[in-house]
Amino acid sequence: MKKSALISISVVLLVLILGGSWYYGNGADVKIVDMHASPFGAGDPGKLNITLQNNGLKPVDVWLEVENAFVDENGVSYSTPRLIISDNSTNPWDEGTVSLQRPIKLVHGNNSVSVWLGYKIPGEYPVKVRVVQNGRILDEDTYLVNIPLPELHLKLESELERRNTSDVYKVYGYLINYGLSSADKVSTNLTVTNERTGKIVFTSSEFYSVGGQDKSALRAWPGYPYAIVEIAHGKPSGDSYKPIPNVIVGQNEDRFLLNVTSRWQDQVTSAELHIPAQEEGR
Amino acid sequence: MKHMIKRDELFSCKSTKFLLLMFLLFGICAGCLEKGPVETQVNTLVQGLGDEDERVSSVSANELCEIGEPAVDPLIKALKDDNPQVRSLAAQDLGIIGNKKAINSLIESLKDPVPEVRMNASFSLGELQATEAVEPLIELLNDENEQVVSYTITALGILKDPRATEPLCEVIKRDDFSVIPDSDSTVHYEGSSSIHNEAVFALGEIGDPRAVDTLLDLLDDKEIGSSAASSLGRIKGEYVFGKLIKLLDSKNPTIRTNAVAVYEHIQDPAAVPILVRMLNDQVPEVRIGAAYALGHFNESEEIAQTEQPLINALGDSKVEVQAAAVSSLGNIESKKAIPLLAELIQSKNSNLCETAIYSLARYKDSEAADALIAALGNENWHIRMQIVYSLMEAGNTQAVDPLISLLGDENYEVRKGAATALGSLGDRKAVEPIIKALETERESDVRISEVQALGILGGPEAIKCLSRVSTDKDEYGYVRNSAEKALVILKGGGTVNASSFY
Repeated sequence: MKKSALISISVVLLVLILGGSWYYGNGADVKIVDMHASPFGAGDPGKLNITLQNNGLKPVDVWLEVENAFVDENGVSYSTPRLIISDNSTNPWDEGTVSLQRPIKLVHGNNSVSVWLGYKIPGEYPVKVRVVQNGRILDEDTYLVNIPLPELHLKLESELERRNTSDVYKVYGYLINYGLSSADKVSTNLTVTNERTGKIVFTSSEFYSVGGQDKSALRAWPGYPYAIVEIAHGKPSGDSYKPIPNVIVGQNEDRFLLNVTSRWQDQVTSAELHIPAQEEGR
Repeated sequence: MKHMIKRDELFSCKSTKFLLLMFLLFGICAGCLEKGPVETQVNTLVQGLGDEDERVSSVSANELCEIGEPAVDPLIKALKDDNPQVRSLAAQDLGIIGNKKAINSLIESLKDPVPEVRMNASFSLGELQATEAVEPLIELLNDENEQVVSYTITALGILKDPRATEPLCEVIKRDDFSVIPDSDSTVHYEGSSSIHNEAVFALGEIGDPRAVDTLLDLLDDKEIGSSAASSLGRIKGEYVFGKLIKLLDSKNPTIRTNAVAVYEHIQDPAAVPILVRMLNDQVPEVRIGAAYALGHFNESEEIAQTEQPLINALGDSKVEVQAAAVSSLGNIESKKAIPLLAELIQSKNSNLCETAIYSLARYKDSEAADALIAALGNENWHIRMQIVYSLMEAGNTQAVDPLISLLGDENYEVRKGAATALGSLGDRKAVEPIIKALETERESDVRISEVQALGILGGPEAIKCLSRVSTDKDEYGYVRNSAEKALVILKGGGTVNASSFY
């Protein structure tokens, strides 16, 4: 090989190395220094607060890429560039607020950025965050988000109304959820046993949904109770009590035990109510 | 050896060195010429206008509008983009941003081969108040695409340029627009009547008297006659007034009905005796129109002429005429009519009953409020609820005590309305009864209204109750949140209002 050729190759390589390192070595010094998400439940919006540290003196524009920010009920994770929205947006499930990813301007020092999160079912989700500039990853980190299960409870109460010769008990029921995650399609069964005869005299089944840290009234129609128990001391009233679907009519000596049981996945909860109550008398 | 020589020749070649140098310079320039953030963002968003995902293109279009001025030049450039969706959305955005610099380019876009682009360009020219675009827009009235014609008409209406009057009158005479048959095969003039309707509306916007005869000719049209009446009402003038009097004697009831509607829009006091006369027309629609129209004349001299005829109309054979009279009597706050309206709350006709409630609520007179309060005992919960909301809207403080008693109403909608109204009326006398009601109230909707009312009314007792609700784990989530929101505002020394909870 001629000497001139070797010199040419060396010069070209040197120039390419210098040019390449000048161009590609120009990335900003940005680090993820903290990530934190307050607890939230399935079906609710959550926020991942990220602290980004720009060690350079000049402001830099970076993009965030977030994996597993939104996962639907089928376990499908949505691409984040269109789901990252600014802190002043209100509802991440609202299509109108979903925006294209914008560059985030980082000033020197620590910068706070919030990213919306949302999961339809409880579980653990590793949220991977990448800070990108001009296609180059400046830093990346993963935060494990834990979406807790709902905590279901039932409550029954009654209100007595005396009508002519009948005692009419209006039964109100509530499905209460102390957990953060909502529970959809909670199967709820009502069983009514005549304690005098020991026979089951009425059953019904219905699905209810309850939000996280919320309660749902067990009822078919707003403004009406869950069930009616009429104990007739004479001729029964004959009232159909529509639109109340759970109506039990008994006679003078009858005592009823109402049992409501709710099931959601592996959780089972129940509540009971005696009508009339032990201490109650006419 | 031969191969080596060739390689040597290659690397020693001047042109190869030059190319390598250029390559290097390109690398350096790429680093140096990094675009500014706004410019980069605008370019990305302009590209986004062409995205197949409608959400992306629409968000891009919205963001470009928000960016405003810096996006104008790239958007003008985008009017020449190969992708018609980009051109169309760019044309739309330029109208929204409102920079007149875009006018000439948008005028050029009126000749775009894609209808959506022409459509948005024409509309944007209207938005930009581009009077220089009037002639090209008039030409576009002959476009083969009806939507383009429709948007062009709207633009011409916005521009309010009399040059468009005659061409728009010509559009109304055209019958070459599509006729869309509906499902039961009866002919439904949706396509043509929509364009004709828009042309009629645009003529009203322009207000050129030269359109009067064309519009008067339309008063017999069952589809767009009422729009023509509305446009004539905006043109006004002696000429219109005089022509209308003759039309009131027309044998065609549609013409008489629409002529009455024109008088309603003109609101000339000279029309009062004419409208009073029309209360006796044999066709109910004409009487209804006249009764409603008379409600717009509120001066005392006018009321002196209209009050008794309207009261007489309460005895009309048609309920719709009675309802129109009830509404107008409320508008003119006829004192004489109060007992009659109170009586109508008991009517079996729900339309009449509701109109009577709303009319009485419009009075500033306490006698009318008394009549409404007295009707709160109505056995129909729907009527009780309407009265509650009417009293609230009227801001009637006489209603506080009766509303407190409705917190125990058998119907939850009425209880909810009462709580909302008590919050709105702002009398702290209601705090204690609301706290008491919260102890037994089971309906979440009512509890929300009660908590919100406590937040609005404020005071130490309300704060104590709200604190209890806000920490109750067995409470409905939204009720608890409402209590929390109210507490944050109250403890910060602020004032809670209905919008604080949304």
